[in-house]
Amino acid sequence: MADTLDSVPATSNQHDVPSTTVKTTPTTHGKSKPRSSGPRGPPLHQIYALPAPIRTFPLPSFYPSNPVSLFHVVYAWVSQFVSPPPAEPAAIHEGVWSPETMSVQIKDPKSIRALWEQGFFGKGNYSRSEPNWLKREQARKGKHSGHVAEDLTAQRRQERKLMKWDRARKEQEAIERTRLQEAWVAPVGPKELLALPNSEEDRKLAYSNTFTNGGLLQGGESLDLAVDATELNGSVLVADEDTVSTTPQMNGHSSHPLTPTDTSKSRKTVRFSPKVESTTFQLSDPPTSRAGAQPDENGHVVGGSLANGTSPLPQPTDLGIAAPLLEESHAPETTSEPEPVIVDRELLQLCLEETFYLVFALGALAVLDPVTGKPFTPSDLFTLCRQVSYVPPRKVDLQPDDPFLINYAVYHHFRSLGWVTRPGIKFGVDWMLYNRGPVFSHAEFAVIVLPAYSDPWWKSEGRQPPRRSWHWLHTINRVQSTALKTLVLAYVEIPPPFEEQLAAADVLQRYKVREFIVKRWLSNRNRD
Amino acid sequence: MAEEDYVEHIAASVLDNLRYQHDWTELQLLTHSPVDNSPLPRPLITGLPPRQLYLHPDDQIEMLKSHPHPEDRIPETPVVEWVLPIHLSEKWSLRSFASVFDSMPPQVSDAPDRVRRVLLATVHNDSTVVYYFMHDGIVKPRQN
Repeated sequence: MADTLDSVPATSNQHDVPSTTVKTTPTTHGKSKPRSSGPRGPPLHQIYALPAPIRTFPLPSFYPSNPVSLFHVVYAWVSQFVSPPPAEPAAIHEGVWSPETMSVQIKDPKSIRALWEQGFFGKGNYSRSEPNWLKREQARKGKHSGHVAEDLTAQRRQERKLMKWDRARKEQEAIERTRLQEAWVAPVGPKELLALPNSEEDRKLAYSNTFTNGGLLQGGESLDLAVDATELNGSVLVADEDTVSTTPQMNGHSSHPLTPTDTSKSRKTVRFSPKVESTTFQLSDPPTSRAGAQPDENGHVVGGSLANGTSPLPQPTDLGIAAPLLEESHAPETTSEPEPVIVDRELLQLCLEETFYLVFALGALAVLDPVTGKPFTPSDLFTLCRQVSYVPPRKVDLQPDDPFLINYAVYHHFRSLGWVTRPGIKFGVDWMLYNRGPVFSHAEFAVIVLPAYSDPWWKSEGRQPPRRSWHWLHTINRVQSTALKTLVLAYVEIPPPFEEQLAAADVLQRYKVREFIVKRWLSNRNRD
Repeated sequence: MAEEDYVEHIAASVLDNLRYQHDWTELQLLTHSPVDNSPLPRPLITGLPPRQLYLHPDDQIEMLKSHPHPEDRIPETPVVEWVLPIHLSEKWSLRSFASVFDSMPPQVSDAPDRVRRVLLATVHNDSTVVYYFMHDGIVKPRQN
């Protein structure tokens, strides 16, 4: 038995070698795509140079050790004094309040690009995040061969789907095989025991006979082999190869007992592979394409080991998986039909917090009333945002803990610390924190906003924060760790109620944000 | 703003999103049941997705049996899906979900003993729509 088990990794390794060489081609293929689209435009750090839609004119730094730097500072100061730079923000973008979606919509393509490129504000309403619906539609019609993030995701999903079909097929085969083995009954009766082969010659005879009889006895025979001495077993295999190596059925039979272990091994790599996790992680984030071809790789590995195990159809499996994949990746490029001009239907949509931050904190946006066409004042907008943050919207009885205020306090807090803060609904949290922006890297932190009523006024009221269960925290934390994010709990200290007439700045001053990082600790993984 | 308006606006934005971002066809916004014309508790959307969204594990086994060779391309036939548009800040209970399921006609495309399913579309103010399948009872789980 030990002999046979040892032979499993040996053969599968041999077969893995060609499959890895096959694997490398899709990987490089996937990587070269973004690279080839890269040189078309300016580099990313140039496009996204400004972290906010305002420009700053800082004085150069003064080094006491370097007297020349003093002249540099003086020159910059004098030149800015003589001809002051234009007032910032230079361009005030215009958005229209949309009561239907409870958001602000921006239609001007220039403003859309500016707000996206300078601080990653808003979301294209037909795109995942960057407004590129038009580009995607044009690519689909064959106008250009540019790829958008959504295409890469779709391709990855298609590969993953094929991999899943392959896995399901293999599992089904394994189940069938186990069924056959379980249907075999051990020979216990005197008649059955007498019918067992006595010598090796008999065994060989029986061997070929049972093979022709079909699968049910086949399993029995293989078990029988395992019970016998391994040396004998080995010699049988050798004899097989010597005498009838030309017939593929014989080969198949000899390797038959190995297959269950083989498939269970491959199934395990599919289930617990970190690659599968990284695909989950990729689904709703911008492309880095590094893990793009991995599910496909996985599929190939699995396909290869299948080919080892079930010899009746060895090579076609591998080819069968590879061919449709290639077809898929090339299909969208070849379909090119001249079509009428596509109208860009996409808008940039800003959620309440983004809108108010742009209006109140940066002053780079003016929100127009759709009825009168006049811009809202920041205080009107503040009240409006607070009103519509209730479901259904309410005109009266605004509280200091209304959803808008709590979320905005956290949004403003992280934005002013330099984080690119974006809604985190797709990860089951309130905000996602990006270091520089979604085009550069994945979000590092996932923020959950929680109100805290520790003020004496709330204490005397007996106000309790919304009850959260351990299950709730645990599920959120597990989702974040699958997506390789760190969970941050942001507690917002709710101030006691204030007068309605208070200005937004005075109101927001009263809120405090405390952050906590929650991490799952595993004794054997966090050893260092 | 009346609550009905609010609910219909959410449904309209989900329908828009399905049409232009996800390329669904044959989209219909239903406020009344197509079977007995009684008003639905919430507006629902029906539509045909571009590819198959859900495959029951039993159906998957059947498909594998009917296509035993790995070279076979397994055909995908998208079926009409029902979509329930809601907003992220709404509070939903099991009772309200059950009332939505009760108002839906049984799925014609599936096997008769299957439970009904609805695609829950959760809208956020920044126009993100998150879709989750929801079943009216326990279903055999799919392997992820």
